[in-house]
Amino acid sequence: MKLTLQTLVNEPGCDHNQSKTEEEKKKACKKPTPGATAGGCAFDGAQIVLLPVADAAHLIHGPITCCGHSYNNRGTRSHVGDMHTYGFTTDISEMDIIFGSEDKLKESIKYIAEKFKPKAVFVYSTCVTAMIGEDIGKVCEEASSEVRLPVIPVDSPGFSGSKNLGNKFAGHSLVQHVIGTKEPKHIPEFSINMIGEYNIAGELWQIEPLFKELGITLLSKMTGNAEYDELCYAHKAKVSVVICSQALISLARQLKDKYEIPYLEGSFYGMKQTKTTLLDIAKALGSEFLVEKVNKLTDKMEKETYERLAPYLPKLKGKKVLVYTGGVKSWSVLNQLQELGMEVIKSSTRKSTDEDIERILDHFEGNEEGLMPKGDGRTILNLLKEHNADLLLAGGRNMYNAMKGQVPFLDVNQERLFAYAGYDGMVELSKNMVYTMESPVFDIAHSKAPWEEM
Amino acid sequence: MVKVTEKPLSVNPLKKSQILGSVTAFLGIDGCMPLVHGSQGCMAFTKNFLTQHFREVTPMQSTAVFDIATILGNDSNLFDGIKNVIEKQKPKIIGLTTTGMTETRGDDIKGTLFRFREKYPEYDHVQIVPVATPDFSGDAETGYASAVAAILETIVPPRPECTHIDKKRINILAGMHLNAADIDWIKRLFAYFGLDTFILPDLASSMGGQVTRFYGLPEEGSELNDIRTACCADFTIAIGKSMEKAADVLLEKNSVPYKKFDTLTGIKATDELISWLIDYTGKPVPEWAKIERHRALDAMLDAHFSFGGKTCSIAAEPDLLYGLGKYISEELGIKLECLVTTAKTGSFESLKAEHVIFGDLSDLEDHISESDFVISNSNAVHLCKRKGLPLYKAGYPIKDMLGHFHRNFIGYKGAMQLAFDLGNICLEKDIEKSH
Repeated sequence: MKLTLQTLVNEPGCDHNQSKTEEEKKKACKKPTPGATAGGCAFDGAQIVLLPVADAAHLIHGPITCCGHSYNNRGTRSHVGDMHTYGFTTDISEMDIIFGSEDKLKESIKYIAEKFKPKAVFVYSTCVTAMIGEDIGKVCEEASSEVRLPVIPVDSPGFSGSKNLGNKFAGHSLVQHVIGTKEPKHIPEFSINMIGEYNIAGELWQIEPLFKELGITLLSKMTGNAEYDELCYAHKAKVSVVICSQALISLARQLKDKYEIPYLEGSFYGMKQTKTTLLDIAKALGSEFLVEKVNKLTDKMEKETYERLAPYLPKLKGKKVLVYTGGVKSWSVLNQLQELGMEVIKSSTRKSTDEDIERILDHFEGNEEGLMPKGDGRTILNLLKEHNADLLLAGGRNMYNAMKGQVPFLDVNQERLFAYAGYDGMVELSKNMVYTMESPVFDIAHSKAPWEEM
Repeated sequence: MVKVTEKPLSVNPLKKSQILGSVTAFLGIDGCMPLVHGSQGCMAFTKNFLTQHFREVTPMQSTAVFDIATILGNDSNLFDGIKNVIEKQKPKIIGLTTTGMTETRGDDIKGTLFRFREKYPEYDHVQIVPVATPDFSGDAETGYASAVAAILETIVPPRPECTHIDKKRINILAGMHLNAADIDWIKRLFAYFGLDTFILPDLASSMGGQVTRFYGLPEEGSELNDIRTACCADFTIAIGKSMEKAADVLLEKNSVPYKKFDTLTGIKATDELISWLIDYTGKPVPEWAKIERHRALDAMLDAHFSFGGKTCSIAAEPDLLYGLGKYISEELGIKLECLVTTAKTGSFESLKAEHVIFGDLSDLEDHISESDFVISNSNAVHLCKRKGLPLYKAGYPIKDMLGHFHRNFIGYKGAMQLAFDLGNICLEKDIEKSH
């Protein structure tokens, strides 16, 4: 466990880490401050990465909080199964802690295998089961041979770190136990891995048609709308594309080291970025023909999209937005807003790597005023007032801050119901921003009741 | 006979942990910051859950137990957590809730707090209420009840500070199964009888919706001063069997007598409460309550054509399960097929049902064969889809419905609302069938 942690924290593919001194490297990234934390734990992060695999069961070995408070709550969508909506947990009791619960874990795996017949079972360790020294690796191995299914241990106790580190744990489990364990029947010429795209609200389905049109095969999607089997094929792809730059760069690097698969980072938020990413992929696949095809397709799509955007663009032009989200979205969404002619007041830098921050700064032409450090609801509301903002773009947890400030709001994080990727996503995003800003409720909320002082 | 699930694991848990219940109770206290002592995930998951459920800002913090040294058990995370919360949020009260993780390593939370007080006398003005809520035992309802008991144990002085008992003052210990509309109804009823109520916790005020303030901390819930003087009340009413534990604290420590209502859902239960109020105050029943009772009965009469021969299954925490199950079976005349609950603490054993199971939502799924509809939380959506059954949402979490917290489930109004809501489900079925 300790070895794994150290290896994962010292991520050579992560620029953020390379720039650190030896002393800094020993410390895990961004230790949370007691009494002033916001994000989830490592277990949360591990589950985010793997849960979209909907034909595999996800069994959480721990007390009830870890599963009971989190299941059936992700915006991820899937065609391949419904296991992502299930909550499986050993729900350990005091007795289990005293006497150990490895037997219970094994029985649970057998129960799931028999009753639900999944393609595989992912088993997550949590704080308590890690502390009492349960050997989930051994249990998974034994259970796997009994049930004749892949049973994959995911070592992810919450106390080991942040969500981000948990993402890496999940990636590590895939490399250790899944990737390369099966061979695809045939490998199309342009086969790629898509890493870090979780089909939130169906975003994958917005960009998948583009790949189809281009003749590029998503051999292994990690993990939006993925089947378990395709995860095993990742070693045969020609290129890996990492969508969420920070979280799973370590997985892409390991694929490069182990199987010599080059990787690139990309984003499908906004037309410009969609084009750049597709071009980068075409180039990485080494096909001039494909580059040509991308240019043609994106030109056509952009023209179409601008036509569809026509009713919304005048309403969005010059509107002031505060962006409070994390990591890759803190810059990728900026380009999207810029393309729509909106003005971004500030963008938050929480969970952002140095590279992410650089890209935010690019947007603001180097002006650090554009950066917004971590702040609570009050800070956000004050900024909105101070800058006379028209809209707050943030995660669901901040939605009700915005409502208290009576400011139009758009949810861009995990539990949302709307998809904003690719060309269709641009239209969807524009519509939803216009809808919230044009809602008559804000006028009523801002005006006083007749008996209140004018 | 209550059966215990035979599965080695929980599939689609109905149970939420004690942490959730405890944090929820603390959110009903004015100026109280819930501080979860454990990994940051324990708090983050809970926050996400409650934010979606209430559709409100739900302030809470974590001690973010993180590295190996802390796992082995030193006090620094807890101390830092408390200090940071006090400095940044300036709460009146900190609701310090433990987790399975800190309980597994055997933290003595009261001892640690004692050391904190010794070391940092400058923070003496902030009340800190510790409550042991390991998530490997109990459920949300026990966690909620423990937090309310801990609030009274910690804050109410051992002997009454007041020299006289306030005859008009009644403490109302509000169970976790109550909605905002329920609490508002109780306030109105008791006020009519000329009584000053102190509601603990008052989630209707803090989480019931407000647009003019910002929640860095819960506002307008139960007031600290009222908690301090709970010992001066003449009487305590506990709503829900789970609240007995908290009522006992006031009885034993301050000799405040109490009456417990296992449920206030339905005509009979409401009659019992109002009869008690008439006896207690000598005042007659209010006109509006009479009207509400007529309306409820009329609703039940209108709806009863659709209830005959109908069957329903319920999965919920014990107090909610008992109240709904009793009303539905004994006053609406709907048969109960499968009841699933999360702790063995309730009164539900007296309910007549085909199956009563201490288990999870898959137990419900496996034992439904003739039910016409299901009552449970949002996590039952998928099983209801698989079974092709309508779901009436109640309990925690409800994240895919607006306004659930403003439905009445208790009092005559609650009887009316449930008769209409469930009646409409059954009526729709009958109409469908007749075509």
